[in-house]
Amino acid sequence: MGLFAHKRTHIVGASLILLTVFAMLYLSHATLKSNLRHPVLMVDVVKSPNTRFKVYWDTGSGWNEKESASKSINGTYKSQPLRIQLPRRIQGLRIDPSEIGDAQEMHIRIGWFRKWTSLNLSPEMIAASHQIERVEQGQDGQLLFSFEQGCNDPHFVIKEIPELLQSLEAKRIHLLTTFRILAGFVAAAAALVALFSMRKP
Amino acid sequence: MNRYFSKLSGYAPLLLLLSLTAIICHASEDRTGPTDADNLPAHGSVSFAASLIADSGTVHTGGSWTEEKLKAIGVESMLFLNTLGEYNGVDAPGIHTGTILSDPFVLQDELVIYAGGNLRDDKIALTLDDTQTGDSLRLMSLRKINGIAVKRWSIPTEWKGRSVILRANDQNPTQSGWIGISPPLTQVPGIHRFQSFHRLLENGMHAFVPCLILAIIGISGTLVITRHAPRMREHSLILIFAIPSTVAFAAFFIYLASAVAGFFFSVIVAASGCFILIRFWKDLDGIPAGIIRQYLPALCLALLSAVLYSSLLQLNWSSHNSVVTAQERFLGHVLPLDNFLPYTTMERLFTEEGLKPFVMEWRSTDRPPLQAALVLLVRPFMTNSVEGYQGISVFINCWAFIGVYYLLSSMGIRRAPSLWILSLLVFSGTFFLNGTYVWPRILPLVFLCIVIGMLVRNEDQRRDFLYWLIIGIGCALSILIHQGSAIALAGVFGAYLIRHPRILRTQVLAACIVLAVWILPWVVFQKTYDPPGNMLQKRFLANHPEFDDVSFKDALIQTYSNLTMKEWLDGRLANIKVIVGDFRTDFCHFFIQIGRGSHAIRLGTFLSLGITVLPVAFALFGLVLRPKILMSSACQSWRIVASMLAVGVALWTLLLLPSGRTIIPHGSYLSPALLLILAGALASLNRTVLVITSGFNFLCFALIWALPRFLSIQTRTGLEDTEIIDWGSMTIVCGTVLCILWLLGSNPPGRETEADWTTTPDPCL
Repeated sequence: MGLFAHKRTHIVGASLILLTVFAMLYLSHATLKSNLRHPVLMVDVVKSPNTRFKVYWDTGSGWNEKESASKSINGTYKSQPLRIQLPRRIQGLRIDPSEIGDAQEMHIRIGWFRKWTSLNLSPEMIAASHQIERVEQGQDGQLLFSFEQGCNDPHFVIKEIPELLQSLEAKRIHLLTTFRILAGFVAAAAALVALFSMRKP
Repeated sequence: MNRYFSKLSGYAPLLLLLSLTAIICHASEDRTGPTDADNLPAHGSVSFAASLIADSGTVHTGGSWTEEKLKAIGVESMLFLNTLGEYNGVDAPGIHTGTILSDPFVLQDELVIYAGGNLRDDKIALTLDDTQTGDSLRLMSLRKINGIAVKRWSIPTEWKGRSVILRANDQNPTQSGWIGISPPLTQVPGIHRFQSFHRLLENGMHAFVPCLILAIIGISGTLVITRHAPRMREHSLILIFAIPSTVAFAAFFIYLASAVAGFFFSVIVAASGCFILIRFWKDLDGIPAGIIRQYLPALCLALLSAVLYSSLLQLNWSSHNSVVTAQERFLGHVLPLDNFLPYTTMERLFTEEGLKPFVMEWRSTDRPPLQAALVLLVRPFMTNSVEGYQGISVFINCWAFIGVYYLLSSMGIRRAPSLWILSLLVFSGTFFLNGTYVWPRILPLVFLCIVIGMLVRNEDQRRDFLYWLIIGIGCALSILIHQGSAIALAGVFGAYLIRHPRILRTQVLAACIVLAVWILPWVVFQKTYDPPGNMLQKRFLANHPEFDDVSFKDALIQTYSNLTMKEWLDGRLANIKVIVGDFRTDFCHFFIQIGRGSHAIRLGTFLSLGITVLPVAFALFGLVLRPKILMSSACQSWRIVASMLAVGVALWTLLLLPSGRTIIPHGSYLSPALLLILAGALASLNRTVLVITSGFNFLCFALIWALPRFLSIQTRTGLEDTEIIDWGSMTIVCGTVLCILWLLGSNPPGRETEADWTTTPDPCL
């Protein structure tokens, strides 16, 4: 029997499964794309008092409350991840890591997911520090903040945000392309397997 | 299998007709968006500007509820962003009560108002005051308002045409908060009439592909295992459920490590499932097709139940998403956030937000993860995570019915009576409510029932290691869904060991080792990620409700050392009472509350078996008619199941320390399921008794869960009338009920002779 000679039930079954494969790939691509739409500020708090972590982003109107977001930090946890979604196009980013003067340790990343698609913040990328005595990098790459005594509004600004976003965009495209290639392989392989395995003996 | 498909194709015209009706109804409705004319009352000016009063706090009108604020309280759509009268007690010191008064307007046939509050226990009293006579008509009081809800009243004849003032009073003095009222309208705006129907369709659309993928993973995994280990063939059914569950359990930890890795893992697992299914399609005629052939009626019933439950959930208009709707739809108070916790776990892992701190004072390690993990495994294929989560969760909850069907066949009950007995569970308020309020209470039943079925079915396999390994996996997965399964299993094996004291220890040890291996990752996670993770054990076995780091053992010692014998006995008595429920109250409300929403009886059903025990009483007639047969060897499995039920209930009653907690909050639903299964089995001794019992059960279900709302809206005028039937969803409800009745009707219990039930069917094939 030839390659295209199939039982009718096999054709129906294969078509249903192939449709499921295509639907699955389409939906997962849509979900991944929507997840990668906005960059995210990812903070992994290693050590901190009970306080609030606040972020301002500049879209051309300067720092203002409307373009900010904050999350509370629970000091009892040894490792506490925070995620704050950022607009897609920003010109600057200001971070207020704490409201009080106790020292903090945290990983700060910008991207989408912790691994492969994010950029770690290092002390060199920090500028315009206010009420921040020292920023150092720990052994695991975390930032160690010490604040001035009696401070009430310590904050800093991240340098070269447009360049940072550009390199993030490259990572986003890289991830999406990887997925598309994988999806293409899966779809093609599914179609081939269906064609070969369901022909009449 | 073709026979079943050809039978199923008989549904096609019916379903087509129903779909067309729904679409036509939908299309014929005025769905144009709200216009200024819609928002204006028919008579009178009702701006709130002139007459705002506050005992404390502030009131204002014409204010704007911003989109962020509405989203924050869970409201997806809102017509009146700029026209609400609003009382805000947030900044007020002390007691927060406030009143909003409207300007006078003239009443017509109907009055429609959007009312809102931001707290789950906010209460608004709405009254109409006649401006001339001073008479008052109370519209609504002491009702929960969470977010924005549309309220509609039919105005009594004597009030029509009167000039009135609307008074809205915040009656929740204990919390700071706000309430808001829209201007009065004369009809519900068209845009909201089919909102619930759309949400129901969304449930189905967003859950369809993920559910299909779960099924494909289960079937393809079973196919591979049975090809390489033919001895596993007879355990194919449990494999179909255990494989996606185990893969999902692995996915949970992969997502925890990295969301990107988890995403690719999900896609690769789903794609592999499809590949395997295509590659070995020809083998489907073997084992999986045999399973599908045998369990197709139960599968159909489970799918129809999922559709029925979802459509009943969306039967009335709700401004919230499905998960929040399930919390507040059926009872007089809002249920807690438990049905949101698996969603929170899933979504946080998917977006890599991390699980600590978790929700309020709960820790992510307090509850086992398998329900969340199952949805997480197929999360990449959901474009709307909330509606998809609800849809998938209802679907996987209904897997339980397939497990029950397996147990029934293990008890020697043939297909047709099994379906009728299964309908006792499908149309049971307890299963319905916990099926839509998607916390992991019913899902463990699929594994528990299959394990019990294996125990009572295969007496000759007790020496087989494989048999015990599968039982170990089944037990582990049920515990990984809900910790209460551990106590349920203690009852099952307690009764089994009493009956088989010489059971081979090595085999049982093997089962225990497998169970431990399956559970070990979770225990390690519990102890290392966010310890101690023992809140539920402490709360329910040691009556220690505080969130602290006290160990379970210390809490247990501390509580029992301070407990007097009288207190302990009173607690046991309360636990026994709650199993049956306040039967007298339930029975009275059964008749009295038909026109009043039946909140009390629904609560009774949620808390205990309540009125669901009535079918059990009916079923006893079956026993009266054929008393001797119960003592025959053919009914041996029934007696084993009855002893498992008895030991299980005794354990729950003795171990659950807080008074009156035997069923809720943390018993698994094995005891109610076994009770209904045994009731059905007894009823099946006589065809007429089985039909009457099922019919009565269906009637109870319809009266309590569907008709009261319908009747109250149609017959009661002038007073509280807060929910509006969505006719699109109603069409689906009616269609699904008809399909279930058709399925039952085409399998009449008398067709298979009574002698048949004494023969145990061949396992699986």
